[in-house]
Amino acid sequence: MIKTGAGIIVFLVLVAILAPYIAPYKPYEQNLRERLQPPSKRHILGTDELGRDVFSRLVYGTRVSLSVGIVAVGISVLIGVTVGLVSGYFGGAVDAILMRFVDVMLSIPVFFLLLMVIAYIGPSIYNVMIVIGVTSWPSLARIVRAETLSVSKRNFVFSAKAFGFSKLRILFIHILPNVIAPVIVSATLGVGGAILVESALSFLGLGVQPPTPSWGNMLTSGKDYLGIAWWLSVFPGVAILITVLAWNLLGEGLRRCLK
Amino acid sequence: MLEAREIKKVYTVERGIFSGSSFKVYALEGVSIKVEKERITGLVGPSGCGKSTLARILTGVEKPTEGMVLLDEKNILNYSPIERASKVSIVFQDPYSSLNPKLSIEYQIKEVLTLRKKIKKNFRFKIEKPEELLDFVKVSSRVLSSKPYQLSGGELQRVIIARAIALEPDYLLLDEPTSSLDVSIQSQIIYLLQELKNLTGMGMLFISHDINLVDCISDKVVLMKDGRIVEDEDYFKKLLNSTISLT
Repeated sequence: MIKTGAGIIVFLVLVAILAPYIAPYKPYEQNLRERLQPPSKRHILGTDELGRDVFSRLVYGTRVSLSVGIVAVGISVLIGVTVGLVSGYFGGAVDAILMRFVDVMLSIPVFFLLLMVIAYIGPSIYNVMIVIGVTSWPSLARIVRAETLSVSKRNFVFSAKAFGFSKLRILFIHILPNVIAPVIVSATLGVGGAILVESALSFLGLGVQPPTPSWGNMLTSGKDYLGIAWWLSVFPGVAILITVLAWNLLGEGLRRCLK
Repeated sequence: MLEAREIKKVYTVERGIFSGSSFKVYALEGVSIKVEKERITGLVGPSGCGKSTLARILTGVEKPTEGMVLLDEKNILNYSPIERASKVSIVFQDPYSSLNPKLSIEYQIKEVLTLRKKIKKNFRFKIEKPEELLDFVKVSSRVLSSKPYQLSGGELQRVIIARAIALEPDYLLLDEPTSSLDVSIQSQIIYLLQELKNLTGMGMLFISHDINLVDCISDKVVLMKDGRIVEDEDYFKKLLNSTISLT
């Protein structure tokens, strides 16, 4: 499970890095004479409504989808881990305030919050990364807090306090490495989720904006031609499916390994 | 002298959501005890009588609900954490939870040794490298690259003792340091502690539920029962005759 997931992700990362060498055409290159061509030897996944090569756009779209997923989860991990560590370690009023804020965040339908914020600040790849990251940390903070509460009671943490080490040192050198395992699993599963959210936002026209290729906006442009050009929607959909599945397999495998 | 005066510790325990409000646990109910330099004070009592809570409060990290801990006639809470660490140190019962499982032995010793440079104190021994510190407790330097779980219980407890004495504290609190070790390792640790006391002149508080062990190592023995210090000869004799019931 872990090998399959990791293998697919390594493959996708390589595709993203080597995109200029793999893609036979430039992702923005239009050829109006070859509009809506079905898969053939010349265009292995066909062409879109502007005559752009679907395979090339799919390959470049890997960069967008992976970077949105990884950066968004990175932001989410940074906020979630910090809030969880501080809340679990200091306890008392700090914990109560932070956890009530987390409760409020968890009670808001995240996707509608995303739509609202993106509609307000404007759609762009960076805004999508930031907004997904900033809205998806609360559940991670809960996990880290619970782990921190348990680890903080162990003798080596008491010993660190007895030696007079700074709170920062205790939090980040002594507690963090002992609570990181569930964070890794949750973050890995989160990347798949973030890619799905980006695709959904792009599908609604609020994510990555054309002509930048993303799997989500490729699906959007394909929906109008679903009856006559199935390849425009099917291949980006399959790419999303495989990528999300790979991250979920890796996450599940890591969960079993780290138990 | 390290002295606890009329220490009381009350914990508030939350019940489950269907069991009503919280209730209070009286862990210590007015405990006074003195730990003197160059002497081993034994503290013995059954499990759950508050021995470990008292040890934690004596380090100054955990605060008592009432009463105070005096370190050389000054309230321990008035010392800075690093100053306090240079005077009082603690060794716990379970060696495997006393060191960070994710960090190497070398890292964990070095991080304490770096504190020696920050403390204004005339150290008696010149210890700069982890190997020199391990020499005190007779552990080979090959353990330095290991993680705590790769060491045996005895080796690990020696490493923990080495770390605890790294700042040459005046007082060492030993919370059941031999309870999780087999008998032959126990005697080695006891011998090591006596050697360290003679070498450094530090005062030790040796906590155990094994009265025979405490009686054997200590210069004086203090008995504890239900969160209080008891001075009852019959109780002492009863403990000596029935140590099994204590565990």
